[in-house]
This record gives sequence, C-alpha cells and structure tokens, in this order.
Amino acid sequence: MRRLLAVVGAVAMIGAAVLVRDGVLDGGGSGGGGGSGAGGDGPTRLICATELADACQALADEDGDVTFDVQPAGDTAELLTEAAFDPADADFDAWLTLQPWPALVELRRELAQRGPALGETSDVLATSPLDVIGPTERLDTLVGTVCDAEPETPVWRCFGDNAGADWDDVGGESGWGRVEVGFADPTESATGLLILGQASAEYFGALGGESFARNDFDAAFSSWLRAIADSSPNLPSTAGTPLSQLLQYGLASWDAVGDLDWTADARVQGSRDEDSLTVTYSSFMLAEVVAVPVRGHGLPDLSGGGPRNALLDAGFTNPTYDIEPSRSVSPINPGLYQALLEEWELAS
Amino acid sequence: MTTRFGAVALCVVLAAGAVACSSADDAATPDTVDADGLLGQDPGDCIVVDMAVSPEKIDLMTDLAQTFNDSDEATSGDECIFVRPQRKSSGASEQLLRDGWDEAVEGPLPVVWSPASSAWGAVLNQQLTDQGDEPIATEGEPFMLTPLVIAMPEPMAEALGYPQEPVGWADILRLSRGPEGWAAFDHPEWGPFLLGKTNPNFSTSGLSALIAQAYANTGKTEGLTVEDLDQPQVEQAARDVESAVVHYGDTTLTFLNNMYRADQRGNSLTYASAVAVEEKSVIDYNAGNPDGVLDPGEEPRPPRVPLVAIYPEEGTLYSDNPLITLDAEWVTEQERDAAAVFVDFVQQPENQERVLEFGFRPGNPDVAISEPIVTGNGVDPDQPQTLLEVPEPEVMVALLDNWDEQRKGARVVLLMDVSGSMGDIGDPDTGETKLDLAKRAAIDALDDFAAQDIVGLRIFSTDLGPSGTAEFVDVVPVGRRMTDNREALATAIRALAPTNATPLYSATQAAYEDAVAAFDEERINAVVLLSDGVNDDGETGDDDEQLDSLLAALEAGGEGRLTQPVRVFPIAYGEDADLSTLRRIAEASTAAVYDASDPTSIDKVFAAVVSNF
Repeated sequence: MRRLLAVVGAVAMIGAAVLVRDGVLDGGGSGGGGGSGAGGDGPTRLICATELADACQALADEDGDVTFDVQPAGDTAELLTEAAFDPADADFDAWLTLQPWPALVELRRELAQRGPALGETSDVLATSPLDVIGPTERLDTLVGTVCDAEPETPVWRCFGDNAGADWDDVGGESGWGRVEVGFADPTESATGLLILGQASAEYFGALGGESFARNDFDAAFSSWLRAIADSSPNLPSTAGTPLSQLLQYGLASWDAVGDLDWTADARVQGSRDEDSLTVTYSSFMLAEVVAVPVRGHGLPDLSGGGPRNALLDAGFTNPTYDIEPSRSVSPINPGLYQALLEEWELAS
Repeated sequence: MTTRFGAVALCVVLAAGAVACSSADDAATPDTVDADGLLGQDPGDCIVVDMAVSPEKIDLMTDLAQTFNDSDEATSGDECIFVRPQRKSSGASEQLLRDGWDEAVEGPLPVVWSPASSAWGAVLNQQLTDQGDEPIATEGEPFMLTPLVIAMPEPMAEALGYPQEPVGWADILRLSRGPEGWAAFDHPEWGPFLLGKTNPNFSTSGLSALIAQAYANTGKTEGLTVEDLDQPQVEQAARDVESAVVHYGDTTLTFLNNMYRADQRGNSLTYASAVAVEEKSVIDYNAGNPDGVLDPGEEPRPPRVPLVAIYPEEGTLYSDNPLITLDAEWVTEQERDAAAVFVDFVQQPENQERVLEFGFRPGNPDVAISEPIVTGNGVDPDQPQTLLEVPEPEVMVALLDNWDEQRKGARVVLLMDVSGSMGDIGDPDTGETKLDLAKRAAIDALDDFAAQDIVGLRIFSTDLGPSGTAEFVDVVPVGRRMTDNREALATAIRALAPTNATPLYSATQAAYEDAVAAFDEERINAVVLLSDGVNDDGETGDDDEQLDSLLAALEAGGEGRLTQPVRVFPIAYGEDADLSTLRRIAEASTAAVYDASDPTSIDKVFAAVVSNF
C-alpha cells in the first residue's frame, strides 16, 4: 500500500517543540504569564477544535491557568462570524484549530462587511498528514484493482468515481454492499474540510503545482461530490467521526474514511479490528495546527517545558516530509475552501 | 445526506402512525417503576442521575450503576454521584418525553435516556420540533451494538447451503412463497417454510424485517420508492410472503420461547423456519435462555437444535443502545456533568467487557468482540458486511399502510369470561368494574384488527343461553370480515354483564376444537381467552382431568407438519387470574400468555395480544 511515510525522512517531534519554546503561542496577544483575557488577569480560556481536545486537556493539566472548551471548528467559525459577535465581550481568549479556519472566518466576516474578529494567527505549531483508513481487503480491492489501473488514479479521485457503486461491479463481493467512502462533515469538522479540499484537488488534477478554482466547478464535479456524500453507510447514529464509526461497526460501516495521521494511529492501534485495517495515503497534504487569539485578547506564555511536553504527549509532531512534488496537493486558498463548502452543501 | 436521514425517517414514520414501536426485545417486559433498577435505594446527598433504560439492558445497566455508585469514580467536584436506572421501553419513554412525563406514575424524569436505538432520539427531536418544542435528545455514544439477523434452526440453514453459500432476504422470501416448501430442499418432512415476524407497528425487528422484505421484493438495496411498492408484482410478492407467517406479535421473544418449547418436545423444525431477531437473541437461545431472562429456579439448557444467525447478503440494520444525556429543562448542569462521568465509566474497557456477557457487541472499539459472539454460538463476529438503507418517510408510511392490507388475515375467537367476579371493582379511582375495563379495551382493540380479519365473540360462564344450562354462547359468530362486523362486535361487547361461574377448561377446549374444525389455512387461527379466575364449573372433582384433556388436545394440535395450528392466547386478567395455568395453556398451543394482573393495564395488554394478528 501507499505508505508514503515509509519512504520519507520524518523527523518527528521537533518543530512543535521549537515553536512552542519560541513562544509563538504569544502571537497576537498582549499578555503573558498567567494569561490575559479581555478583562485582564484570570485564566486563559481556549476553544479547541474537536481534533485537538487531547492536546488542550494536556495543556490544562499542565497549566492551571488554562481552561478550555471543545467544539467543532465549524461551530466556532459560525460563532465568530455572527454579526452579534463582539471580540471585546468574547468569553474565550483564543482558538486552537487547523488551517484554514481562522482565515475562513475573516473571509466570511469580510464578505458580510464585518470587521476582523481575530488577532494574528500563529506560525504552524504542528502538522499531520491526511490518511485513508479502511478494511484491508476492501482497500486492496478498490485501490489495487481499480485505482492503480493504468493510468494510476489518486485515491480520493478514484473513491469518488466509485462511491455508491455495487462492490461486485468493482471487483469486490456482492455481500459487501456498495462502496461507502467519506470523511467528517466539512462544514463542521476541521479535518473534514481539509479532506474535501484534498479530494477536490485530486478530482481537478491540482497536484504538483497545478491549481484549480471555483470556475472549474461543473455538473460533473457536483455529481462526483454527491456520490461521496450519498455513499455514507446507514448507521443508527451519526455520532462520532467516520473513523470512530468504522472502528465501532467494522465491515458493516465504511469501506474507507479520511482522517488525520495522528488520530488514525492512535485510534486504530489497539482497536479490536487493528489487524484487519489498513492505514494508507492518497495525495500528500498536511493538516496544520495554529493558535489564534480573539482580537484584543492575549495568550499565556506556553514556552515552559511542561506545556511543551503536554503538546508532544498529546500527539503533536512536526516532522519534515520529503514528498514527490507531483503527489502533493497544491495550496488551496480560503476563498476556494469556502466555494468547496458551498458546493458540498448543495451536493449533500 | 439521505442515507443518514433515513435512520431518522424510520421512526418519524412510526411516530406519524402513533404506534408503540419497540426494539426487537424491549417490548418483552412490561414497564415498571420499581421492578428493576435502583429506585428503591437511598441516594443520600449525592447528585442523582436518573436513567430511563430499555428493558433488554436494565440488568446490565443496574449492575454497572451499582458498581459505579460504590466506586471512587462516582464523584463530580466535591460531590458524590448516584446513578439510578429504571426500566422503560424505547417507545414508551419516547412518548412520555414527548407528551409529558408524570413522575408520580412513571418514576423520576431521566437525566440520561438509553433507548435501543439512536433513531429514537431522532424521533423524539423531530416530534418535539413538529409540536413547536425544542429538541432535547443529544447524540449519544453507542453503549453496545447488536445487528438484526435471520435466525434459523441449524439443519435448515445448512439445507440452504449456509454458511458456504450466502443467504439473503430474497432467498428467504422466495422460499416462503414457494409452494413446495422444504420439499424443494429434499426435506418434505419439515413441511412448509414458516416465517416468524413481529408486528411492525410494535416491534423494531418487525419493521426492519418489513423494510428488508420490501427491498428484496423489488430487487433493490437502496432508493426504495412508493412507486416501487405499488407495482402489482411487488404487492403480490408481499402478500405471498405474509401468507407464510406463523403469527405476528409484539416481541420476538414470543417466537423464541415457543421455538424453544417446541425444541424441548423435539419439534422445533415445525414451529418456524426463520425468525427475524437481534443477534444477541440467537446467543441467548443457544445458551438455553431464549428470552434472555432466567426466572427463579430456571436453569439454562441448550436446545436440541441450535439456531444459526444468518446475516443477510443484502445487508441489515443495527441497534446501538446510546446513552443520551437530555438537554432538557429539568436537567441541571450539575446532573449533566455527573452523567458525563458515568457515560465515561461505562465506556471503560473493563465495563464494556460486561456487555459481552449479555450477548451484545461493545460500543468501545478497543474492546475485542469475543465470547459469546463466536461462531460456536451460531453467530459470526465478522458480520454483518453491509447495512440496508432505511427508506424515506413517505415510503415508510406506504410500507406500513400496505402491510395493513397485505398481512396475513386472521380468524379469531374472542373468548371472554363473564363470570360474576368480572363485576368486581377494577379501578378504585373510577369505580369501574373489571368487565367495564375489559369491554372498553376489547372495543378499542377491534380497531387494531385488519379489515380482512374474521373475528367472533364468545362468552363463557355457567347457566348461560336460552336454556340456562350452557357454558358458552356465541354472541357474534365468527364469519364476517371485520369491516362488516366491527359495529356488531362493539355493540355486543358493550352489552356484556357479569353472570355466574368460570368453566375455564371446558369453555377453552370447546372454543379450541370449534376453531380447529373451522380451520382456515389462509389465515392465522387463534382463540384469545380472557379470564379473571380459576376454573370453577361447580364440579371440582374433574378439574385435573379437564385440564389434562385440554392441554393434550392443544399439544397434539400443534405438532406435526400436517396439523392445523390454532393458537390460544390467554390474558390473565386481575390478580385472581390463574396465571400459571393460563401459561400452560399458551405454551401447549405454542402461543403466549399476557399478564394483566393490574386491570387498568388491560387496554395495553389487549393491543399487545391483537398484535399477533
């Protein structure tokens, strides 16, 4: 399978440590030490994207002045975009999330002719590649038989092309039902949005420096997205991420899901289906963790060893990757992400 | 996304139909405020987390709550936590949360609700929204899982080639419609292919089976439409399948209990060929505990012929048993935080392993699926491989509406006890007699029969009839379809009055024998017997002989492939009813007894009995 990381030189757990040591979490803030909310002294209140809950818990455990709430990035973005949102009255000081959400918030506010809500986004604190996880036999069948046929098709492009198809039409067994592939709702999930971008870039061939834009969207792309959206398995509950559902319901649920590498590693290892699951990659794309203060609010100095180690213990890494350029997703700007979200909402 | 909405849609439709839908098993035990759980225990000064838990997991949840309450983990801040589960079936609790929960009657309002399936949370929210209220069901973490399967006696499954050959809903339905029955598989001795299905208006298993059946009849696995259902060949196929049904019912456990009793008599292959049940029920059955509950003095004895769980090739549906912390006005922040501590507790691996003891799959994916979910117990941990899509709401409405037309017709004798004791007070609050309550319930239940059903009314007591010597009288003879007979039946029931004694055995035997004589092979043939007392015909010396004769007749009538099965469904009415004898009568005819020892419950009980038709 396509374990790109097996052939790249990964230098883990360095970047985040350096960045934290250099105090980037102070970015945009006015305070230090014990935190500085809008009201001055007192605990620092973070909102953490769901994917970063463990990291925030570790931070709070290390620093008694840090409190936090966990929320899907989409919910926080909605809050920050509301006309009624006033940074001065905000009941939290900063947002720990994935790119491009801070920029997306400011874009939405700008489109709504509202002023900025956030301060300066920090440098990247940590990264994670995006994974594809699925039952080995099914991934082998789909990727090995269909996607890797000449010419080789990127995995998400191939998944979308076959989403909803009967397995026995694509080389699988009829008892497997239909091809069910997906990712977390991109309107809510920071990870889901990134995978939507990754999959769309593959659809348009925007790898290795090639780009795509809203102008490229057409009916065929809408159908392709709809096939992915409609292929979700019929589970009794929508709770949890697709990866959680895959681990809970096994073969009856997803045939392939996208998620963050650090999440996948932690969740798949030790799960009851570990031996029958494969973690693999499609095109290369990094999820980037950033912190951003609410405008006018500050952040604590997190440069001490304790907080740094807490971040590392929670799975933050910052390796360097040596990826074949032609396999890398070209950068996607916030405006294009917004357009993709609108297209997704139409499709789903 | 349409497929996800489907799961919600299923029960929205049920709600629209205002029916009491339950999990496959969670209608099995009556709701009680204090029969189980920890309601009787003193929580002291702790934060109390009240739970409403569907019956199939009340024992497990109570056990976990007890362990939790006694542990150091039962704290929130500086305060202790006391978790207090109470038994509530999914459908009943959903209706109570929607319409208003009377704590004096139903027990404390729940902080955490654990129905059999998350779909119930979606139903509740949909209904609350429809009536202008705020939704209160949050998304709950699945506590434990169990898929719907087709349970078949092992030799029958093997005759179909299972497990080497995949078997699907379509195969089962084709068999049930085939005129040759098991003869087509070189087993004429097994007779016709008999299907066990629960009533989809009462049982989630029944509804799921109906969905699967519709897919199989159309050749689809998703995207079912009303137009699909209206195709003549699809309608005919549905009727053909229903014609193979043994009887319906409100819970799958009736089938499993009956099959087990038949097995103990060496006859399990002639009661039902396939029944749609939850996977855990197959495990319980094969362990010799078909209803999953060991009564005092009962010991599990494995059946002679075990069941095999078939995971249909086309897909199936899951029950996920979520723990839903309600976002309701009566739930305080403190209670919500305390509930979260317990929800985390039950997800811990050592507690999730307890789930396995009850035949469920752990919700925590870090806990391996192991004993008893192993092939040796007739189930397969690597299945199911795919799931069916739940149709859109309008399709579900059409499915249920069509089922009312297509379900197998019934020929039923209502045999009602009009002895003098029926004139006793049944409801002290209103002063209504037992007969008053029974009459009202019986009249209401007439609406639950299908239009094509044939129902008659026979009363029994002593000194009846023109001569004053009869033990029973056919007040409304069995003959006309319900459409033409409902008013006559209602009028006759209204006119009933308490009379003399209770010739229970002779009247039951006569009704049974008359029903056998008039047996209609196109219908479910049954006697519904309502009685509030012990046999009393003025002659005690022959009581044992009469009972032996009755039981022998019933047992003989239910065995062998050429029999004409007439099932007797007794209702033990009032606290003086002879429940144990009535149970023997039910078991002898492979039916089920219904307990209405509280006369005010008779309306619910009557509805449950009629769900068999």
